[in-house]
Amino acid sequence: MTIDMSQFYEVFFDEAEELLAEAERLLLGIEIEDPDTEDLNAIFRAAHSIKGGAATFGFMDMTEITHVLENLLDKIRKNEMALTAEHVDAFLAAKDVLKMEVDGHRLATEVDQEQVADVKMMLKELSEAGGVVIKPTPATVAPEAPVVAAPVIEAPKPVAEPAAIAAVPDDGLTRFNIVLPEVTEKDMNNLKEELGLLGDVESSKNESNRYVFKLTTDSTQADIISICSFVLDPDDLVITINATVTATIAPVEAKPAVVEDPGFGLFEDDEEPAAVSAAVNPSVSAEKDSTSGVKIHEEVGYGLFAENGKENVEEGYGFFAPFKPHKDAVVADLIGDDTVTTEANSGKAELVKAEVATAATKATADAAASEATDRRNQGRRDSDKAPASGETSSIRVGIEKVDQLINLVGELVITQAMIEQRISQLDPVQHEPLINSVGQLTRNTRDLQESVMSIRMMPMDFVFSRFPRMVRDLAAKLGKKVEFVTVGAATELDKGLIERIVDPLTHLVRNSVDHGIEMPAGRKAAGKNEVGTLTLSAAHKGGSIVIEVTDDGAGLNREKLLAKAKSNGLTVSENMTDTEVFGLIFAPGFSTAEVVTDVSGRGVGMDVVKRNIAAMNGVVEIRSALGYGTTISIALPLTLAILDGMSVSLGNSIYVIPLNLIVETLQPRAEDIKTVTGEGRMVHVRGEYLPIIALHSLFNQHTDITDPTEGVLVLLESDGKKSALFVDRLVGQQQVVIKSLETNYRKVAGVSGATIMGDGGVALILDVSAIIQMGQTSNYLTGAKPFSHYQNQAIEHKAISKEFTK
Amino acid sequence: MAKTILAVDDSGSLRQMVAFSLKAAGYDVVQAVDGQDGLDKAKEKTVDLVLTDQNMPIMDGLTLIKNLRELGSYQKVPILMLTTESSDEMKAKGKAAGANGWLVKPFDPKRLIEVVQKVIGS
Repeated sequence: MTIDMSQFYEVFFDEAEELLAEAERLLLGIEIEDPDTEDLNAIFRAAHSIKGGAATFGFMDMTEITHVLENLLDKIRKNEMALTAEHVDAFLAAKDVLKMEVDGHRLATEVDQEQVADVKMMLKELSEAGGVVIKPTPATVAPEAPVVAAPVIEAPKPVAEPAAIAAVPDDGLTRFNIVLPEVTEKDMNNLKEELGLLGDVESSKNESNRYVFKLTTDSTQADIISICSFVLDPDDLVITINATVTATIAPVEAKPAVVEDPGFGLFEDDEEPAAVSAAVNPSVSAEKDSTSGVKIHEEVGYGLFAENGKENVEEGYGFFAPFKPHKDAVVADLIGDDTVTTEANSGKAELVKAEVATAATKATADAAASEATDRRNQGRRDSDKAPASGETSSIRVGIEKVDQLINLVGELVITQAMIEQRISQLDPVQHEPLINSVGQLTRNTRDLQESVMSIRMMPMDFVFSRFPRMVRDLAAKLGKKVEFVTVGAATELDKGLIERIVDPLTHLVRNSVDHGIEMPAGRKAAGKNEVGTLTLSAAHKGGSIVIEVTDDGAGLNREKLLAKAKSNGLTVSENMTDTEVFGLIFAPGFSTAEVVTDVSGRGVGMDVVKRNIAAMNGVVEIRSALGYGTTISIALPLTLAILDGMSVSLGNSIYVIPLNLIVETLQPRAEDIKTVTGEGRMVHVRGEYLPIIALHSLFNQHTDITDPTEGVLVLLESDGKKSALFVDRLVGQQQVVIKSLETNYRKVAGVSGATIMGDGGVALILDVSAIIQMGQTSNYLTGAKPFSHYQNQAIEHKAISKEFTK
Repeated sequence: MAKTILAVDDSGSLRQMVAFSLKAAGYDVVQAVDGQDGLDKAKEKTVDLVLTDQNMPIMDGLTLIKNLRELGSYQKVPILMLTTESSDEMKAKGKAAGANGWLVKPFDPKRLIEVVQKVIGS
């Protein structure tokens, strides 16, 4: 039976990414002076899990880096080495490299091998630097001081690879002899290449014509086995540690040849060590008489078992006696040989009366300690568990399937609206059952639509989680102290919007750290806490989601902004409201930063941020108080597919205005309309004069209503600017399914999309911020020929309707 | 009737690989995401074999094994550790906790099935 491992790759990649993100989150929150043990354990586990998966699925590049990472983390979590800021930096760098490798495997993106090598080197150096502190230097141990070496082996701290560590000569490297089974030259070369990644490797052939590698490395036997197991059966592998080295350094383990286990084993009754060796190394035992089991044991390096007999007697159950912490372990039931099959004919892995010590209430000191920690943290960790256990009850589907479903539901909503409209013209008494059924259909359709839309909803955390790292790196680069807080990360938003909000938010967060939050000294001088706070929040408000970037920095300086705007040639006046003044930073090419820093002040500007958000039917707003900080607030619709709109009529056409941009609607009195020279018609609303934009002029549509007093003014607000849009009349408020113009037709100025109305007609959705812009920049307002630029709009709109009704 | 195996691992990819392989070999598989989950699932239904990872959040493999052995129904159920750490010390700890054997990660599905078949038959 062959099992295609590639089917698990995606799961592994997802999992690795999750683990990396989680590790990063923990690393960013870690207190270097006093790290939380459970956090360290969790980070270690992440590295460990990725390593296990990577090794299983054959991503050796990831195995290598997680291996060194894991070693270093292990030392730190066992308090063999103190955590430093350097470590955290290195771990974060390793995270980046691993992410790059995941992407490399998954998306075939480029992997910067130099960066990988740098990080590996950095981790190794850190690992070795600390190792000296812990281990007695081999020079003092070897060769004539075997007594000193012993504690290294028996130290209560679990040492991952006692044999290998004991065998480390003074250069920190172990020399392995690896005898391969019969393999092709190609396999041998592949293997040699892979092993070459661990250290120096030389190949030769021995007298039985088998390939033999001499590998000098700081890796362990387990690593070698890991690598070899992809090419051959590790059972057939004979690995020995160069005897001349081990004998002098590690007298306790001084079996001349250490043969690694074949990768699995079954515990035997300790009185039959021969069977154990049979289990652990069939290739050796096969050649030996079973009565010489004990001796084989010693030869193969399983001294642990060989010593059992003695220890057993002394301590009642001393099978684990060489491990001092096990002294208290109590003996419990044995597994009788009735439950386990014995396959005497098998050359390996015989399970003979597997004696099992259970109920070892006090196992090793470490196990007990970690258990205690586990229990202590259990409550806290329970919340983390939820998504993991939910995994089995979720399915993965391609996004295109979801999108297709959403499209179909969109069509259904339109059809349903059509039926509803037809029904409304019927006699309610005569057609009561039909009308009731359609009412039911309407409710069901709405529920269905909501459920389907919710499939695409993702928590904001997907976006927020990338910022702690960015803020940390930025703050470090700028020498600032910033505490990063997120609120409402669980708030859900459509996947499409989530993806598109990343860039604008990144820009805003960067700006806040770079320009908003002051240097620590400056903050101190201003009587503030040295550490600035940057808050990223998300919340539902009405039908929108409001995302805010708040800093407690210097705030926007109104005077500076005005001066800068003036020098940039923008029209400004002292009477502008704060909102209007702050809105100036969205003007193209506007930057208040006195020095263009390395971080922000180049690349996309705030104008791009605004444009991106407007393209999502979103609104940006700035609130700021000089000296106290700035909040940039983005309101987005919950989804891109559905819009709460107000439909208005203009001649024979219907247009839809996004409801969230409408301030109010009114029918003006004649005395409220003023014509201001150079500014066109204005309407006076509660002490404010707002420019009137006549939609029929703008779109060059024919209508009988050309006097604002006969029609309706819709007050719109976008980007802090208000305008009154003059239309014929209001038709009604409704949810519309947005059809993209870009995909179905092409982009049209002043129109953000189209929708199909209940009667089957096509209505265009207005791009409010563009219309306000058009109204302002157009010479219409200055009294020149109206909208010559947009002459073709009426024709174009007809063309769009035709396109959509096809 | 097919024998049931409890596979405990916090790594979803490995767990799924193990489960898939064992199912392909004709076993029923119950999955658990950590030691505690494993213990809960083990209590729900007494399985024929437990395969557990060591390093897991909330409850590690050794603790799970110890807890299982304290249950009357699990005193004789074979338990294997699937672990990346193959040191003698780890094995001794595993044995002390009550494991019957170990299998070093990474392993390929073929080997896993081979070992499982040795322990509980096919």
